[in-house]
Amino acid sequence: MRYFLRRLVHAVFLLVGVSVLAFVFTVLAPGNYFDEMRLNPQIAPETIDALRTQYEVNRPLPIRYAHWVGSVLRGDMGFSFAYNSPVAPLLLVRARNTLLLTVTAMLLSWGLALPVGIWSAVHQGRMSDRLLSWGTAALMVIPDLALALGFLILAVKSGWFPTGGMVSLHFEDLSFLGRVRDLLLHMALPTAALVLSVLPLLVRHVRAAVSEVLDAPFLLAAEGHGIPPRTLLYRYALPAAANPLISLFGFSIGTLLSGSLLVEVVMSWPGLGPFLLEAILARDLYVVIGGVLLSTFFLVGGNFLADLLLYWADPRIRTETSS
Amino acid sequence: MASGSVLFDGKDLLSAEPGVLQGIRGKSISLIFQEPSVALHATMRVGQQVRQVLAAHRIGSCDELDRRTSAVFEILFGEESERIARSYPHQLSGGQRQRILIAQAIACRPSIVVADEPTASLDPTTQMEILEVFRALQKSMSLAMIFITHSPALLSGFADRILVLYAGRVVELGPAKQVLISPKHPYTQALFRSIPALDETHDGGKRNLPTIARDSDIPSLPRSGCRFEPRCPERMDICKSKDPGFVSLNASHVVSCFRYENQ
Amino acid sequence: MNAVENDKNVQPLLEVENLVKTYFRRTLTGSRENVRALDGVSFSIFPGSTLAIVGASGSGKSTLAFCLACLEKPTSGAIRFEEREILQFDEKELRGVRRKIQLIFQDPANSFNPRWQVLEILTEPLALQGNLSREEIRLRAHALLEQVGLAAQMDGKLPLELSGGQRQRLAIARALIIEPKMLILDEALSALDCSVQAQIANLLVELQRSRGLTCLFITHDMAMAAHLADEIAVMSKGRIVEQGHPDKILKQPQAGVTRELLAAVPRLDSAPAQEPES
Repeated sequence: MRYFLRRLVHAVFLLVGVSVLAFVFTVLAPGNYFDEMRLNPQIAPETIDALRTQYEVNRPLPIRYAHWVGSVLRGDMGFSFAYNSPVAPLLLVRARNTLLLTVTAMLLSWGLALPVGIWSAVHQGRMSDRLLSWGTAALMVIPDLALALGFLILAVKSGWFPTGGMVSLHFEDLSFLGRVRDLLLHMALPTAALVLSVLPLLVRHVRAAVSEVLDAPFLLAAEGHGIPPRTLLYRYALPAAANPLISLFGFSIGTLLSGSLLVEVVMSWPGLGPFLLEAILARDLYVVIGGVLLSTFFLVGGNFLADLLLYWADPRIRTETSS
Repeated sequence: MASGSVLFDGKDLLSAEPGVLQGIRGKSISLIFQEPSVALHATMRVGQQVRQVLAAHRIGSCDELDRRTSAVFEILFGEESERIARSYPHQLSGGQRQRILIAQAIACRPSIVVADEPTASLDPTTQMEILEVFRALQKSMSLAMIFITHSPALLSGFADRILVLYAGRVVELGPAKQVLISPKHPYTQALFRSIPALDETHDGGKRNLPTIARDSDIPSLPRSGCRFEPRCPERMDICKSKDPGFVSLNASHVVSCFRYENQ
Repeated sequence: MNAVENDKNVQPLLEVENLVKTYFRRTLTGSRENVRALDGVSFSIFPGSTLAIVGASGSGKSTLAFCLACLEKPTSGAIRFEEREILQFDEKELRGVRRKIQLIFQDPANSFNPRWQVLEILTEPLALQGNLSREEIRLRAHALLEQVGLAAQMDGKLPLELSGGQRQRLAIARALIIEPKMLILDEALSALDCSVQAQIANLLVELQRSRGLTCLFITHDMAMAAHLADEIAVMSKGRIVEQGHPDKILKQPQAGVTRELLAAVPRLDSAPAQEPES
């Protein structure tokens, strides 16, 4: 219990620290939202000054930070200059879209990587394993951009898949099943791009972790007791190989919000990535900080989850000695 | 396996199908591994590990499996069996882990148990306890045991027959009492002499223990002649060129040595 | 009642006074448990002699070995080596002491870097000291290989190509190459076959004679301890319960623990309490 309280406190400190850093760096970066406006001759300087006062651009840094923290606690997370609305609902909608993509991709890639990696570890050294090795190496070498573009070309040329967006224009008119189908069609290619970019690395990690365990004496002993091969693999070898994989899993949760930026931009998926990119370019201060904070939350949360899982999965960690 | 045969219940094990072998392992012939700390799964409770062996051979329903597992733990641990069944290997002592290995081996009531140095990593008091466990099990389950060890003194009062191996060959086989008290093969004799006796006198000067000359090396090529010949204190010319066959010293004691050929 | 007090003016090489070592362990339920591995251990060893520490598993023998070899810091107590209190030393001085006390472990298979050849393994401690030329180091290494009974041509082999006995000889050679004053052998013979144990035991006796080595021999094998040691100390639950000359310990054991250990020694020709039907 104390173990977790400590980790939780660390996590909170980390989040606060990141928020301070993000705030400071974004504010200190040259330029601000209103500079663009200034260049526009149709907007009067007085309007700009009024807006600036309203948005507190001229007040000192610590005060702005304090007001922002208050806004976070209220659930608004600051105010977006460009969209003229609190940041939180904007971010959350976009984050939901991204998560739809990335969670599906993560489930698919782990679901594929585990059996393929285990199979590969068991058939180590044989021709089939080597072919798989070359395949994963080739996939890893192809840049994500090329994958995404390739899928886009596929969509355009074949016409089987929509070429962008999350839903069709007539989404609202469709029946429930029709809506599901529409969404799935739109999701298919971006998810496929994400899975293909992540899968080879996962397969290699699973293979490495499992093949290390396959030589262990306890596995030989279990075989000596007549445990059948499938049980040996899934109830003996896999749990023993789980530790590095759990850490990796925690890390992949951390990249749930940030890993899909490229794919989202290329395939016009209305996710967090493109939204944040726009905000950065426009110097929409509070959106940027909000996005950074959300990403950090996922990263820290992912690691925390991994720690929890490790604690639950490995009784040896629960009984560590110290002097 | 290069040559020879292993017969169990009339069936040749060496040419058996993997499925058949898996059915035999743990159920009819089971093995107790040497090093209990690595032969057990680190993150599975030990009760579960024993239960898995029973489950693998489809002994019965879930309840039946639980019942059999508790029964085995009762035999080996008595009062503490429940607490121990819920523990993980790293929480148990060496002796307790060894008992878990024994539990796994006897759970399916096999006909033969092969124990590979089961007491090697334990201290003397625990060694004696484990030997007691084996004796009790032998009596109650009429178990046939093949007990592999490099400490011959352990077998005193425990084994019925002793087989002495050197470099992959049998050099002596006979009733335990005979082999221990009057060993015949030069290797067996030298081996027993090299063990320090408790009742030697300690007069201040430390004597050397009699040892076997040179180191044993694993011969890389099969050669003819007795394997022990390079280190044997009683070697003769014939030992280099011919393989000694088996000589029966009496109805139950055989030796593989030219010294006894013409008796 | 020290057995080796041949010269009243000779000071003990190592004196241990009231050594205590505790550590905390967390149980599965999350509560903290206090474990006293060493509970007030005191003894002294005179130069050139062998002290054997005999005890069952969990008696604290290995913890004692680690504390003496300066690999762990005891919670309290005093250790005096060559009449200097080493627990107060800083890291630099401790390193100097560590060179003079060498530890040999039980497991010959795992105490070496599996990728290094014998010569590298042997010469690493000397190279670390940094005050000899490479040629001198090689010469010393070969001389030592011969002394422990390994052929000079073995210097190119990998540890896995050596037998258990050969690996232990290598471990001894590696320990001796920097000319320590004291060797601590933590169950160094337990993993070996009985005939190989005899060979290594003879080697230790010979080395002690020729180099005046002091040995601390930690074991649970009472027979080997009695054969090799000038004095035996019996340990149980972190304390020394009995200490004395081997003859006395063997023939007139006082403590219950000692009697148990003696009773548990397997003998070749004895019959057990119950006779099996055969």
